[in-house]
Amino acid sequence: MAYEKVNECYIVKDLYYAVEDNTWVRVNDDGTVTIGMTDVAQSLAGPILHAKAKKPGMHRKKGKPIATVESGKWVGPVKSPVSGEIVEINEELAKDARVLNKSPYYKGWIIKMKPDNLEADLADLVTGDAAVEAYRAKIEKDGVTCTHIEGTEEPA
Amino acid sequence: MTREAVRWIDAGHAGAFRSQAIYHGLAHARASDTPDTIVWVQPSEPYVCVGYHQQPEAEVNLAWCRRIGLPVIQRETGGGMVYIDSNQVFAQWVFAPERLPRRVDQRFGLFVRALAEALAPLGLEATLGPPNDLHIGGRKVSGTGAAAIGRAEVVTGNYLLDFDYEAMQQVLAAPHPAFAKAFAEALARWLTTLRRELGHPPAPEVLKRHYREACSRVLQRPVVAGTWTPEEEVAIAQMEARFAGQQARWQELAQKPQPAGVRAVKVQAGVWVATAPIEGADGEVRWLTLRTRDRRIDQAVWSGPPADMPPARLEALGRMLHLVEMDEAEVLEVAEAWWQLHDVSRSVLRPELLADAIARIRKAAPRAPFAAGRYLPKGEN
Repeated sequence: MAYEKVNECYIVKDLYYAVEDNTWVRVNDDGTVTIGMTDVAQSLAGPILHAKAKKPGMHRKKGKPIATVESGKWVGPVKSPVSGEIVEINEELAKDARVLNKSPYYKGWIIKMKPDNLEADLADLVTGDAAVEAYRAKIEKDGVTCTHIEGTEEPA
Repeated sequence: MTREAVRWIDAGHAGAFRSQAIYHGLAHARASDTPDTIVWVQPSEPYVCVGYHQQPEAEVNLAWCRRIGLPVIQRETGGGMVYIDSNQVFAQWVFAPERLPRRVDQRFGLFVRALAEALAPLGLEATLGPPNDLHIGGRKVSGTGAAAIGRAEVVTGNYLLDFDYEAMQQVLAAPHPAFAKAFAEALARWLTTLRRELGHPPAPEVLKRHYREACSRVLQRPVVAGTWTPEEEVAIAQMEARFAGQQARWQELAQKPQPAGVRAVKVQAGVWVATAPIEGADGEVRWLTLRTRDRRIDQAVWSGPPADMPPARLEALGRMLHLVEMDEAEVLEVAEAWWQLHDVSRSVLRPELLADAIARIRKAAPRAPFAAGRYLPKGEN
């Protein structure tokens, strides 16, 4: 199966994860990467009302915010799991940020980035079964159960 | 769970910028060995504060604020625009992320519990108005906000000792007077104060003592008086300067005309006042202003040029829309029934225009994740 569910949290196996920051990276064929927040992140945040991504053309270092999200009066950053230049942002987020709750791995992607040194950055991330195990440990440690009160798109 | 002491900083009275700068500065300066901190501070002067994702020019009457010299501060926490003055006291938590609940709703729940418990010795039964308000008898008596700032998680809230409803109405950016009036009426209905509940405002010193004790109980940690470090003081001063620097930007924005579109303001979770322009078949723009509760129409008011019918017929439509769900099809059905019942079929206010306006309002006033209807003000149904 291409994904696993731990405490109702979806973990898609072909993505790379920065587990502590709850972000994911998808490697695209054109050399760019797509970045978003995880199912765990949207569950912890709750219904997201606003999302504002940094502008295309900006260079962001790994660990620096690429976007801010707001749910129920809480504002938090989405930290970049890789360094690079933002080449595209998901315009749909400005129209309805709840897509981050409904489809965190697909329609709710946040930015696309041209990475500086993808190989080095990916080495610090986890993927596949290692990602599932890392999340299983984190979810148990933090006592997280994912919720999908906005409905969810089941991973492919 | 840690039993490590929480630092309590009584910041006394503080000017507009400083009252916001303290928690921002403490959060930005937070190091791994910084204790979790609770700040108690009372603003000494009025100002307006807007949320991180808000557009101040759309929310605040910046020209009016400029004219009377009222500072406007855009904070890093979420939530909406608020009018603040010395009749409010703030509690501001600046904690290590791992020492607060991970889920945002649970974090607010903990914070609001401390606010509520501090009111019990005063004889007030306050409860959480989900997701993050403090209610007495279904009316909001405290605003909250939160953010991840630097290496800290921040949660802030206030007690309304008293509230200047008129000033709040004045600072609100309102496209027309009917909207401002509807907002003021909604505030009076859904917002309360400790003065209103007790018959007099509580002594801030007494409330402070109860709040500090409540924090200790809720967090199950000692809360020990302390002060900020020189490094934190520098960070606070930097934030003060940043907020002061924002004023020039608001002066620029105050001169820009705002587009006339849908305007929606949340009064409390699930309760909105919103207005939308309707261009009638005669080319005139009229405004439909709704007060909505839990996605149902509580009140509908028209304003603008007179419509081509007696006012009583428009009032009849308002009555027919009462408690109707803000669903385009349902509204259309009601509006068409109104057309037939009241012989207004040649009116410039066509049902589909009305349904479209309500659909636009619905989009601008998103539903609350928790039903507001369960938390009705005393004497309401």
